[in-house]
Amino acid sequence: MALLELHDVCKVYSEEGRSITVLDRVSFDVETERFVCLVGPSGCGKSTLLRMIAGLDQPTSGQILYDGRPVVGVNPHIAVVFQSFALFPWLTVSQNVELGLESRGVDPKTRKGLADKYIDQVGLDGFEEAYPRELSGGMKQRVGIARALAVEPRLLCMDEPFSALDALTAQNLREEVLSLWEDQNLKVSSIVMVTHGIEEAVFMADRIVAFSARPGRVISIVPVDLPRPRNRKDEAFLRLTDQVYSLIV
Amino acid sequence: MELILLPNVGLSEVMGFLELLEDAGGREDVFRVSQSLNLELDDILPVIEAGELLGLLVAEKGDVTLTAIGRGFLDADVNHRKKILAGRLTGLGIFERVLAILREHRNGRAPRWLFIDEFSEHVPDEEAARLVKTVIDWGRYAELIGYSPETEEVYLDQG
Repeated sequence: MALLELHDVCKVYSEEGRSITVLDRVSFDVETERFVCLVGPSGCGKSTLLRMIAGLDQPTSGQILYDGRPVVGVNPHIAVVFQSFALFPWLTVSQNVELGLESRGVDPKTRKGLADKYIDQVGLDGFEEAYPRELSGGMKQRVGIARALAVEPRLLCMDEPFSALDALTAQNLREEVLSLWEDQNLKVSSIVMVTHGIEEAVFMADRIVAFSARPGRVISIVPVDLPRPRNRKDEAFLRLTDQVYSLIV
Repeated sequence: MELILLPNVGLSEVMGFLELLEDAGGREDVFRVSQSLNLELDDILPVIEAGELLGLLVAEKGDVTLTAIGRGFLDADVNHRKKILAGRLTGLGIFERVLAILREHRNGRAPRWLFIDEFSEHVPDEEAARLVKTVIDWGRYAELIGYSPETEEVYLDQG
C-alpha cells in the first residue's frame, strides 16, 4: 500500500464572485521509502498541494489518504520544512526545535533528548543556545530540518527548502538531506519536496511529478532511476534533466 | 603576531563548493564553476580561499583541486567532519590565539569585545568585529568554542 495517495484532488478559491481553480484533478501515489519531487511553474499550486498533504489546508474536492486513511487536520506522522525557515526569532535553536514537540504534548525531558539528537544530526551541535539572528541562512534551514525531524515523522514535506539559500550552501544542504534520508536510523520513510528547480529534482528524487501552469494538472510522472550518489555532469543526468524541461517548458 | 585573516564565508558554502568539485572529478576550472552557478568572482574567491586555508583544496592557475584531506572530509559523516575541521582550525594562528586567550581566563570564558580589541591591533574595527563573528561561527561548528548570546562571552567547548 502507498504511504500517500492523492485521488482527483482539486482546489478552487473564490474571490469577489469569481472562482479560481488552482489545482485540477491531481492524482499520484507516494510509496514508502521514496523521494518524490513536485515540479512546475510558479503559481501552479504545488505549495498549496503540499499544505493539503500536511493537513494544513483542505482540498475542495478529491481525497488525500495517508496510510489508507483520509488526511483530516494536522497529521502527526507528517512534518513540514518551509522555504522561509519559519523560526521564532526570540527562541533559541533548542527552543525552536522543541516547539513542535511541545505542541504535541511531549514531556520536557523527552523533548530535550529528541531536540539534542536531531540538532546533532543536522550538524548544529554547539549552536543549541544560539538565536536565529546569529545564524546564516543555511544554518537556519538546518534548524528547520531538525525541528521537522524531531517529531519523527514518516513523511517529510519540504517546500522549496533551498531556494532562499546561496548556490553553494544549497548544494551542501541537498547532499545532507539525502544523507539524512538514507540513514536507516531515521524514522522518515518518504519525502515529498516542492521545487521549481528541475536539476534539483533530478538530483534528489526517485520520481518527479511534473505540473502544468495554473490550474496545476499532473502532466507527467517521471521515474528517476539514476544511481546515487548522482553527478550533475553525467550524460544520463543531463539527458533526463533536458527531458523534464521539455515536459514543462 | 601576524594575523592571517579568515575569509568572510560560511562553512556550508565551503562544503557545497567541495561537493561540486567532487562532481567534477575533483578538479575544475574556477571560471566554469562560477559561470555554472552565476557567481561573481567576489563571491567564489573567499570560498576558495577558505577551502585552501583549511587544506581541503588547492587553487593554481585558475583551477581548483580537492586535496586528500578534502576527499576524506567529503566521505566523512557530520561528526567526523567536525573533527577534521577542528584539527585544521587549531593549526591556524588566529585560532591558536583565541584558544590561548580562553585558556588564560578563569572557566575558559572571555567577553567577545576582548577578541575584537585583540584583532583591532591588526585590522580596522569593523573588520575585527566581522572576523570575530567568523571565528565564532567556524569554531562553534567545529565544537572548539561556544558562544553565549546573553552574556556575549566566548568559551571553550568542553564537549
